[in-house]
Amino acid sequence: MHYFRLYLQFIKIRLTSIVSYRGSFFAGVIAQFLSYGAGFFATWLLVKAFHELNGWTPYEVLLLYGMNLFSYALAAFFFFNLAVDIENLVISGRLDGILVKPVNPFLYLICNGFNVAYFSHISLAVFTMIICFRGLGISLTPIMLVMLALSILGAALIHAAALVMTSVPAIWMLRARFSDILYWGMREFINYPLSIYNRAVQVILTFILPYGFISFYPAQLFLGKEDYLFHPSLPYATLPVGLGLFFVAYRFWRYGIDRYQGTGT
Amino acid sequence: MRVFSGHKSQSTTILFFILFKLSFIKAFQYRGYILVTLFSALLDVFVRISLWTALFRANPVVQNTTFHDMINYMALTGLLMLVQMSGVDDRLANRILQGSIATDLIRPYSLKLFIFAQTIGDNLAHFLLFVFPVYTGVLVLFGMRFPPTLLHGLVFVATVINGAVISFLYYYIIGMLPFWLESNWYVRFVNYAMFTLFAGAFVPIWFYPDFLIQISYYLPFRYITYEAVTFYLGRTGLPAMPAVLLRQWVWIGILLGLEVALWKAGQKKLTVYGG
Repeated sequence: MHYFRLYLQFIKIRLTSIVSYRGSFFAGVIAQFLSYGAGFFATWLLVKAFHELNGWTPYEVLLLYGMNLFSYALAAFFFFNLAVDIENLVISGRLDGILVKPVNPFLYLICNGFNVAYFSHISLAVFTMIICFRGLGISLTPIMLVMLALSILGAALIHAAALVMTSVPAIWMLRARFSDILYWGMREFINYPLSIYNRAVQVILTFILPYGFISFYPAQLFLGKEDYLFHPSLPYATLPVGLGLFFVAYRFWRYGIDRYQGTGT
Repeated sequence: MRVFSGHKSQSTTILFFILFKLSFIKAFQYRGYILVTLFSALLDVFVRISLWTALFRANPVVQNTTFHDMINYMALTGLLMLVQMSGVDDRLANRILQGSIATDLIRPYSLKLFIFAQTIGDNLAHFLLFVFPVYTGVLVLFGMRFPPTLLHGLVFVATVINGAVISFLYYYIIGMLPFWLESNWYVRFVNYAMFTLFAGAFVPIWFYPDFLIQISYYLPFRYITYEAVTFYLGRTGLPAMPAVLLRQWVWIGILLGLEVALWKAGQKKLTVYGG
């Protein structure tokens, strides 16, 4: 409860800062909407020109984009700044100040890092998903809607876990950009059905870096796809995978903080 | 104020080479960065090759295009990143936003040439380190195509040079926007959208529905590299050649006029706070 009130305070401060730069905030929202929208539209046009991508129709592929962006935006809302700012906090020594505050440093950083710019991503993602379901003539039953919400939650946790984990090397001042690539570079893979890749990539994206659970596996469920890989129960696994991964990421982050040495600044 | 003051062409050449060398040295400083960028470029190409493989699995020829055509299109478009002058806009914009433009305006060199040299240097370093190895690798692996006739090849070279000029002017104009805007971080997103849709950066324009193709003719983006690549691949016949070159020159004229006008207006608008 205490954290919740603190969080609301932080959000209020952030929103105030937006109001002071209203013009550039809204220009930014529109620009980001356009940039993702153009990518979505180009992919849709491409698959439409070919009629299908490995048995997936244009709207079905677009749904993968939508689910990926929606869950990413939800995660980035809270965790983007945590992942990106940590390097500066360490170098400037401000992390020391945060560690001695009487709040959980993880929660403090999340609260403080609330990133409002993701409103545009979320609105585009929801808009895209609605277009897809309408275009496919699929009306989701209440149970399916709940499943969708839970899958998105699980997918957001997977994104969040990846963001949190990639921030740990920065705590140790290792500029291990390689961990960033594992996340930012691999994200591109899951905009298309996992079934278009060779077996090795499918194994990696299912069992090692389980990004397949962000969009491909859950989308199979809502689209009634049966190009199952590995096991037909995987479309239901997004939430458990997300919870497990996030737990591991949080432990790893705490482990990282316990071994934080400070720069002496 | 005239930025271009009397200078010998010799000193300009020297300046050019010094800047060029500097950006090269800078790129080689960060070995970790090189590895990581190379790896992500490889991932990116891998995803796109997988995508094209899957798309052509059902039909080997779609709209007169084969898998082999697409691989060559992708690699050529990638290699022509060399003449994409992105970076020009940020260099100019940052000077305006931070106010250092004030000193640039009184220095005895051409700001435009200075930014051009810096950008070419960075581009070439980037090209040699990442773009060239990755895409020549792709071409060696899948088989490289050559222009159908020598004339196609010559026209290709001419359109690439024109495209580079268009690209430079376009980004230079974009870089001037901070004369009128309080911040410009979002401009890159609009640029990205335009290049994705109208430059054929990812999907060739020939796959588009007709209305989008029509729109693309009224924007400068397809004249940067797309027209050149279609010549190289022999998709555009030689009879269309004069029209394409003419359109490129018209765009160069329009952008040049716009650049001069905006530069004049911008300097009147410019306020740099003292400090």
